[in-house]
Amino acid sequence: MKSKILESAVWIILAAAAGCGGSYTPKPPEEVSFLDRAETQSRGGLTVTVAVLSREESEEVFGVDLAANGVQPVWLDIENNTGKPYFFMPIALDPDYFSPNEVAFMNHFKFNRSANREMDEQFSKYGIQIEFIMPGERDKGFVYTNLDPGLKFVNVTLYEIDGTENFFFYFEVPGIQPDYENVDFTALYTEDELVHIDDEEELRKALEALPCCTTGSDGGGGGDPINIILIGDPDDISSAVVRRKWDVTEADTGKFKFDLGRAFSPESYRTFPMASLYLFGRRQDVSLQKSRRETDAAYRQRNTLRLWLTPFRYQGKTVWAGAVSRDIGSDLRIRKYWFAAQEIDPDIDETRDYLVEDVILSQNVDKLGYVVGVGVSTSGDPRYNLSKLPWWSDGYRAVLLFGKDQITLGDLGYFEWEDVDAVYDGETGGDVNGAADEGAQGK
Amino acid sequence: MRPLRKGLKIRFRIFLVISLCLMPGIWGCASYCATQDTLNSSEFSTPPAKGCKVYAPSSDPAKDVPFKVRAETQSEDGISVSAAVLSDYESERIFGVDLARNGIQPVWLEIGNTTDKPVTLIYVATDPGYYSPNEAAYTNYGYASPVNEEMNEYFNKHSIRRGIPAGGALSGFFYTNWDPGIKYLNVSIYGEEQEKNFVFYFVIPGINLDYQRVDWDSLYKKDEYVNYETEEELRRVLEAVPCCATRKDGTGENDALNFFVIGDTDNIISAFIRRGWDVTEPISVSSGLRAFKAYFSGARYRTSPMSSVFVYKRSQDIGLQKARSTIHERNHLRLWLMPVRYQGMDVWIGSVSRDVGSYFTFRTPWLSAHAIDPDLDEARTYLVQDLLFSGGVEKFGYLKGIRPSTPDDPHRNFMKQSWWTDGYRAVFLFGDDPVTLNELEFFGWEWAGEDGARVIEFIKAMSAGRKEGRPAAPEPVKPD
Repeated sequence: MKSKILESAVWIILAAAAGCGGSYTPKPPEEVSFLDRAETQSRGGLTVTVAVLSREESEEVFGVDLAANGVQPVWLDIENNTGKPYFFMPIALDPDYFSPNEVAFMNHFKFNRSANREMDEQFSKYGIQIEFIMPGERDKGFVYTNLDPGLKFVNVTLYEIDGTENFFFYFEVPGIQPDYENVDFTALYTEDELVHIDDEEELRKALEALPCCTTGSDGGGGGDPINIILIGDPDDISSAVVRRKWDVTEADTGKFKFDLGRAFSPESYRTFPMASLYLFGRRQDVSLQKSRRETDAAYRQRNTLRLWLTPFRYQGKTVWAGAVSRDIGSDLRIRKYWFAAQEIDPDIDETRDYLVEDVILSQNVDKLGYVVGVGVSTSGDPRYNLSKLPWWSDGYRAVLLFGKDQITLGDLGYFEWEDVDAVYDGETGGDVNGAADEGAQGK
Repeated sequence: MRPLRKGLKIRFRIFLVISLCLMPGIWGCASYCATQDTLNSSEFSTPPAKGCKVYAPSSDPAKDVPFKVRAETQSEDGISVSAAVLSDYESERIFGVDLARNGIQPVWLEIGNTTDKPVTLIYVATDPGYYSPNEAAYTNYGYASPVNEEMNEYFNKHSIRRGIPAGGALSGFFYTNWDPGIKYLNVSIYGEEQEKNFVFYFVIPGINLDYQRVDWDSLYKKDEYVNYETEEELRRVLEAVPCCATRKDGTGENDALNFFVIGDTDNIISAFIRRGWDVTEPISVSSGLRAFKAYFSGARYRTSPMSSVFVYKRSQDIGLQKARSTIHERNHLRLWLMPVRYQGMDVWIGSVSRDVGSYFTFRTPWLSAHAIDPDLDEARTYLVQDLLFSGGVEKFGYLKGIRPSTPDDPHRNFMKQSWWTDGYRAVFLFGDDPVTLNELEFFGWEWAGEDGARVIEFIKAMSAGRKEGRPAAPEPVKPD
């Protein structure tokens, strides 16, 4: 009895502190426009329609701000016109998906039981049924996934007793403004400027001749090495990197620079703006990043990838030059933009090898190879980027050719250029103008 | 709790900003001494100069810290892999800094290649968020500390590299994200036209786990176990298991007993660990205090203790949990060993539920309790998907045994929380070898869900077809 009184006393204090009640006014999904962005794929009698809700849309449909709690509803409509029952497995879409009651509980009002009950019912009613979809039947509703800003990869796995069918989608989710939206890709090169290459040797020469490094906005100064070349249809490349959980980057509008609160908010660090580097006389066309999500240091520990579209077309596919580096933390030195004061891993090849591993595990890479072009530098005699941070490299660029088919590691093809194994043995390549890398010799 | 937590978050941010400003002042003073000649002397007990710490990593890790006695080795086709995971204490002893505090757990690897082709170790397959040596060192830097360089060198010198030449061997540390209790380690190696995976599980010293306090031999006498050979017998025994857990004296109805696992304990636990489940600490003063703190800060506590729930008049033998971003949200399950064997294998009763948040209460010693998702079948469905994807389940099915209930007429557990179910229980049989989804077999009993009757007819027909060697699906079920 005593505990009851104490318990209610605590509740009363909490009520005074937190304010009471609230009203709950959701809108039916048919009245919200997200279905316009839905995409449909059909295969062998199965039809899957998917749409990802933006923050505003999910607030309209559910009456509460789901994104504040890191929830992003995904709309699914699965039609089974085959002769077999199919089991929809949302765990393949998001291994930590939320249950309807869980999402409702997060958004419960403190002292409004009837609204809370209504909310429970609403979320359960809209949640998709996770069970076998019988022949001729249709299953639709929401899966409550963890929030991905910008680009979202959606994998719909349908299991029948003899195997699984996978449908891959990826979506641009409205709500943030990725930096590549400011680039007019068709205007970058005229038809005459494009260089069409069909031969591997020619491609090798073209890639070796690319500038070693990025520059400052005036074309001068030291920069980061161009150590990655991605070749493929833009869709294949982005679906592979998004599958490996890379995030897009918001355009640097200048508003964020001094917004400390934003930097510390876990919801937005994943797409935090990135400093500009220059190649071909222009800022990077696309910036991608993969930040550590488990720790509070996430916004300053991330891998960054900057990409520029080159004028080359290899067998009709676009060729992108990239600079990848690993931010290992921020220092307190004053820079032009405070968030640019990132310390990078000076062993820049380590980060290149990380990216290579990461994208080949997406199983979308057909071929891997290495060319020279960066120039050799060592930890004893490093080069410096625009922020005066040292880096050294064995001088190789990794070249990744993306395809449409799933390729396992054992079947991966190679460009017969530089000796890939030598790269991993720590031998240096290109114009050997420095001493052997001491850091890479010991084992 | 949301508005309160948000308030805390903002205050925490303000605190962070302030402490960031103060940090150089505080840490600058308490930082390391200027470099001393510690690397060359194996003396660890050299007293540090007054007012500052000495950076003193181990000059010979394997000699100073006997982590290698726990190393395990596997070989296949000329490639051999040895691995050992460092405990928090060991990594601090070796690297001279508290790596666990920053979420880093070094793993020692030794890879030998006696084939005639070079192979490559894929770091990302082992841990997609691994720390590079420079990064691992940088997270431990002191502000303007004179030993930062030294630390960096040490981390680089002792790290493993990717390429293993033909006929060569490599060894060193790999800096992974920290895992508590049991670590699942997948070492992936590829070369021209080959790809190999070596899978290890390590119990990491330095943490008490709930199942370690169970005296397995005294749970049942040898002659208490009853062995069943046929599926029908098994079904009858499992259906007769009471619906729910009880009080310590065996009365009352608490949480639902909504699944069974059958198989070798190692196979069962490793399947869970592969899918990201964590083991559980027993309730103690320190773990209770940590849970209490985590409740208020909303921090993640992956091995947080679980309350006792009783079956066979004893609390759970094993507790497992899978945390989402905070302590408030996790899936958790409890397992009790049954005095029953199926074809010689152990049989366990399980109870799984989803914690959707927590609330303040006087019913537990740490003043907080988890609110469970009242739709209990949702958690069961999650578990079914998770375990089928683990590749450890050989055979799967559903049977009945709990009184069906609805939101309007729910069951209630001892915390006065309501729950409802369709009454089905999942049964998982674990095998020794990895099983892909299309090799999975089914118990021809019943199936949960609205269309359960039609699904089970289909599955029975399908299984019969497989037995007769008919590869394809049976006659399609006519849509209504």
